[in-house]
Amino acid sequence: MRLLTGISLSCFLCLTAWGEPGRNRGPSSLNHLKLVDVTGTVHEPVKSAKTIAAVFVYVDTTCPIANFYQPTLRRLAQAFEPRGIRFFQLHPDPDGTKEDLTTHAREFEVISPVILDNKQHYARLHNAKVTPEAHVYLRDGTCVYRGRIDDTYTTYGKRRPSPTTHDLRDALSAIISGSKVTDPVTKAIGCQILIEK
Amino acid sequence: MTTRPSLALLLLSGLAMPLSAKVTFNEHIAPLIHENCTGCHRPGQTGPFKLITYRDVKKRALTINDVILDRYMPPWKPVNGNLHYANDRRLSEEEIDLFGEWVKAGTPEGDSKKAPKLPEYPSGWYLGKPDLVIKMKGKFEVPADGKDIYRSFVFPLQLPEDKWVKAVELRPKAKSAVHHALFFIDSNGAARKMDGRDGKAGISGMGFLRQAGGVTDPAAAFGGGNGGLGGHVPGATPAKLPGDLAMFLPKGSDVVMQTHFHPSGKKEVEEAELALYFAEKAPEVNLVPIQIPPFFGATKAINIPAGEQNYVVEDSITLPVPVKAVSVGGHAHYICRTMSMTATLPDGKKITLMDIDDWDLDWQDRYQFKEPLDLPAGTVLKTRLVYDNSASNPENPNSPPRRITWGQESDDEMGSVTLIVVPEDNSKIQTIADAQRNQLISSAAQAIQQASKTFLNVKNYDDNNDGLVQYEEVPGRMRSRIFSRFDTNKNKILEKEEQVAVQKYLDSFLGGFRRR
Repeated sequence: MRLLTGISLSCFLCLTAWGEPGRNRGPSSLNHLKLVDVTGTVHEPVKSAKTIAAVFVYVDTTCPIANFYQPTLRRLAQAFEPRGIRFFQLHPDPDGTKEDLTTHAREFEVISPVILDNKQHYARLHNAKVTPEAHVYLRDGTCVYRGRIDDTYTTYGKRRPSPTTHDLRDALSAIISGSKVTDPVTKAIGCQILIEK
Repeated sequence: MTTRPSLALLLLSGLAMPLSAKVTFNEHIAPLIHENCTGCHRPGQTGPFKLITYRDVKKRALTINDVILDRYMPPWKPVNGNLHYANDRRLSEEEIDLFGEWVKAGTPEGDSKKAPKLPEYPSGWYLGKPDLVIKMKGKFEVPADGKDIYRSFVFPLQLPEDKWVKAVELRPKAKSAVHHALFFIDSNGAARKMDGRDGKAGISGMGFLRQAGGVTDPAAAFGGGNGGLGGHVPGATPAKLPGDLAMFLPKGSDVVMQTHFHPSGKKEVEEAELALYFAEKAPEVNLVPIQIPPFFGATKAINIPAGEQNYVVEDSITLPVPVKAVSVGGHAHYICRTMSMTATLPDGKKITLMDIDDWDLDWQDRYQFKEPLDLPAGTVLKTRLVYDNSASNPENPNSPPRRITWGQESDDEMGSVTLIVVPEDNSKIQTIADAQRNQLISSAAQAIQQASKTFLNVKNYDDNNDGLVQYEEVPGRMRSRIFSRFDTNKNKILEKEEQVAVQKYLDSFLGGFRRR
């Protein structure tokens, strides 16, 4: 319970930043963030001094577009984790179970912590709309990117043979090089998240 | 002052939207979903998530609303409303509105007493007990990601006697990855020999048909005999051919499945099973495929410059005998945008048989006419295909765009529409075949002329007019052949002297034709 409150409070503090990347700076927003993954492991992204940013990717076990991106997400995590960017996969699925998510993570060879957000707590806070959708935060709680992973999908069912932009990768590279993210908001194509009342 | 207008507004809105207050899952939405979506969106089928219960549908409500408004789902490509198709899956405007109202109302579940029974599906094969079940040769691992894969697999069969096939039903194992499959007949064992040459089960690419001797007309996977045995398309329900119609399966032949895989994000293994349903006897009249242009457009010398947004291919044939048209369907690759076939009757009446305004390689279906259409002798059948090879076409396989020519691989182009017809009796089949052959000969002569002006003339490769032919300027499928033989100084550029040698080689393709 205390854990939950901690999360709510810290997220509430950075709420002003959600949806408007780079505009507002929540006061040390990631500081108290504790995420519990499906194995029960608690993650505190900023506990390590090496962490410079966290990527929250909204995914789903049966959304084909989210699943299509799993290999790309794995490669991005492999490339950027050693450089201080932490990846988390969140499932905003009210009917999701830890068992389903664990099986899915095994089948799709997910290497990042998998978090069941069945109360859609994070999805609400991040204003997540679609799976897959990436939300990137700096240590200090600044939201620096939200949107698609790349532009492979142009709409439902229309897929380019290969992407012409690599939006998430470019945003993460910009963070590492200390430059501004050129396209901080993009439109993600995927399965829409229904936030339940 | 202020209350009156708002009261009127309230009344008005109440009149305009009586529906939203009443639309519930149990009463309205469940029947709609069960009828139109659940067939594929249930465990064991190819739909990516299940749409059966209230919770299933609620979770996907916003997505469903988007894809039905977009008419991406249920999958159905023809936009012409003049004909009724037996396998039509289109939702009506009213059904789409009803779903929208339900979403607007907050996706209420409604009275549980009104909940419909969950639909029941046969647990085994959809069409009942098959006469024969065959398994593909070997297993093929579909990787988690990467480009789409086209691959053909052999189903060893070699029956001792001729058979007539009423229907086939496929059970793929790599359910999320298999996008669609076409079934061809290989009557001389060519596919068996080619199978596994690259160390994996099956035959790589789309090129099987080119080399399998038995398939004289790759035109139709749908006519039987040397045509084929139909296809497997997500969303299409397996069905037996009507009346006594059946597809010919000659003795001693194998079935070859040309498969299109979309990597799904996880590794999957394909090891498909195919069920065959036989007719007791040969049909009185055979199905005849009429493909326009023939050979998937090979005779049209498709040659689309990079950047060309509106490349048109047209071809037509005049029916020599009256026929009944049974179904229509087309084939093209990525950059085809629109595809249509029309019939102009001798009295001048024009019927649109199929009109696709947003061609998608992913959804190659056959569209069966609800009632067979009578087409009298003298009817002109015309196909029109439009291609977009510009950068603004997101489905362009090349970035930046490159010249695309006719060929069987996915980054080449093809294009044709095939009408399946039934003549009055089998004696008329030869007349139709003769008309097709004559048309083919005249079409081929035109194509040769066209080709000699375009890609069989080395000067035309020089897109940037610098007098040299760069590697990138040569059409894809000819590139490695030409450069390995004629780029003597290996600089990936054909200089003047090298071009002379290439031209001699290209001339040899046509013998005397080019000189005409």
